[in-house]
Amino acid sequence: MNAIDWIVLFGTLALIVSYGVWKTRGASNMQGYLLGNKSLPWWTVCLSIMATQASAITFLSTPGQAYEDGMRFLQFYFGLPLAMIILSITAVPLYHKLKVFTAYEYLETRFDRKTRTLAAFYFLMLRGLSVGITIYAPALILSTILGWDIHLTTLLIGSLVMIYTVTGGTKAVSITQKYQLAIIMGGMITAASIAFSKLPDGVTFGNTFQLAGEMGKMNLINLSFNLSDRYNIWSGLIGGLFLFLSYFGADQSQVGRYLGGSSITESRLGLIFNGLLKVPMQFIILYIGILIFVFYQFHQAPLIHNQALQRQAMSTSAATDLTKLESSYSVVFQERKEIAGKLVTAIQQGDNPAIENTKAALAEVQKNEAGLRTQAKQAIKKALPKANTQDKDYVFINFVMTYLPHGLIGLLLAVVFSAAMSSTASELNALASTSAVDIYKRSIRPAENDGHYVKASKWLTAGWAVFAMIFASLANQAENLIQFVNIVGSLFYGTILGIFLSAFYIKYLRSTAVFWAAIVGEAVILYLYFFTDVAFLLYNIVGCVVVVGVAFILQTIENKSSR
Amino acid sequence: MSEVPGNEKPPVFSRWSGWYWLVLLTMLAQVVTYLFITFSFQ
Repeated sequence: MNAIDWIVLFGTLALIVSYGVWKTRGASNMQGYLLGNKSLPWWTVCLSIMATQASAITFLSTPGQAYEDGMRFLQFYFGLPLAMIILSITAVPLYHKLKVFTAYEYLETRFDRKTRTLAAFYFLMLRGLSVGITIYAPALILSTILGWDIHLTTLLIGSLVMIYTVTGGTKAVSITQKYQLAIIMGGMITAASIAFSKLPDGVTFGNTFQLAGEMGKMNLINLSFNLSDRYNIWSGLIGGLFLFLSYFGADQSQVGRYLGGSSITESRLGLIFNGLLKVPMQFIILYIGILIFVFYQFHQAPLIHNQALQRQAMSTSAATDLTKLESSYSVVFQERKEIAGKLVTAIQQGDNPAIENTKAALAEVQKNEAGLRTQAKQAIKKALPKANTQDKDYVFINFVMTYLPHGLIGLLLAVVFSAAMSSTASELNALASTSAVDIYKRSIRPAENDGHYVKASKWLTAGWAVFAMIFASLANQAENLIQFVNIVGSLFYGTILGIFLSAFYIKYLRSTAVFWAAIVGEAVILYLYFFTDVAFLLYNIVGCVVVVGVAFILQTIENKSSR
Repeated sequence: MSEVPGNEKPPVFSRWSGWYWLVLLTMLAQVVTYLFITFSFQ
């Protein structure tokens, strides 16, 4: 990092925050503060939806996921376009027609206050927990990379978001997200171009697919049906559909984005374009991980991608082992570079026997390399027992810091900060809307004027921001951050979806049956999480089915006993 | 706790739109492409 990087980084962040504050100053009523006066065009709605979903974890962790595990994570998003269609037909017109501020408000018109409050409570639990992680994940990685204290990076992300989210509400969230997403996509494509430009002469775009494919990384689709496999086409289509129906239909951080659309058509188009663009966007992000993988076939990858941890370990008893492992690693790399070059030549010449031979040799070298990395991690763990040696999340950012020119490093760090800020802003805004409208206004102070509720919403936004920063500072590291966030979501989404599906489509079901079914549904999910190894994507289906099924049983009993 | 009678009228949903076909066909094209990539590059 040099002066240019700092100027680019802080200049970008300051511009976005100031623009958000300036452009949305003076929102004085609830309609303006929580719904942005319902004035947003479809493309702002779409970009806002995409920026909300794509957190910093997406950009830090996803390329690393592809680097280690291949492209199969893409299947996770296959249910999303279907969910967009279903919600465009059902939820969007309904929410607009009822002029609600939050998704949970609708539940009172359909059921009753207790069911609305329960759904709002589940949402506050899941979003309250994950907003801390949304800040914590990038704060941790940035603190490691920049050598700053984690509390400082947490405070920086949290307070920057707090400034414009508190002052400008929903509109500030949406309009800043447009620019944040532009910076994010620009930065990612720049990083990908640089990785590609640094490949040896003659290696084409097509060769990167072939080389990665020969090494098992182009595993985009897995057709086998396996309940405990996290990523296959069936869990993506079915589990993903349920997850995204919940996320976009019943999670206020997304519902709040399209409620700001100026009409049903604008909101619907926002969702439709998200359905068109999301999967290709994830493909690009995963492909960046593949490009880095191919790049490291010809340039020596670090022994440990978390370089700060490796440096720290070098001042401990692990130093001797690490030095030996590092020199073996260099020897193995030279061997691999040579074989990878031969493989590319064989691919270009279409020489199948040579491809098979070099592939086998490369697999052997890769095995040796993986063994050295495992030994290095064990040595570090022995010297620093509390260290997290999982370094997948550092693959992309370490590449940026090592190989990008100055100026672009600042831009890519701005990408990470922007992504962290955009998703955190939506989450804080949603937490504040739900606590203000569904809890405070509905159950604590129901008879105040509009100005009072705007002020309360601002205080609640600030309160949730402080909570998120404290949670982020205290959080323990998860094995892989993106998966942790998805698991937390899946713990509650199925139950919430069950409540909403009952409300939307099943006229037979009434409030008391759905309320108790939602409590049973959540208990079942928690049981699955703590006592079984069922894949977390399936929690969404199970939670939803249990809520609807139990509600049917309870409703039938209630009907019979009241006759 | 007293129960509020639910909304008796079924919700008014939107009609099917040409946009939805576009989303479905784009997704189908993507899945076919990804299948092609998966089985071509391995």
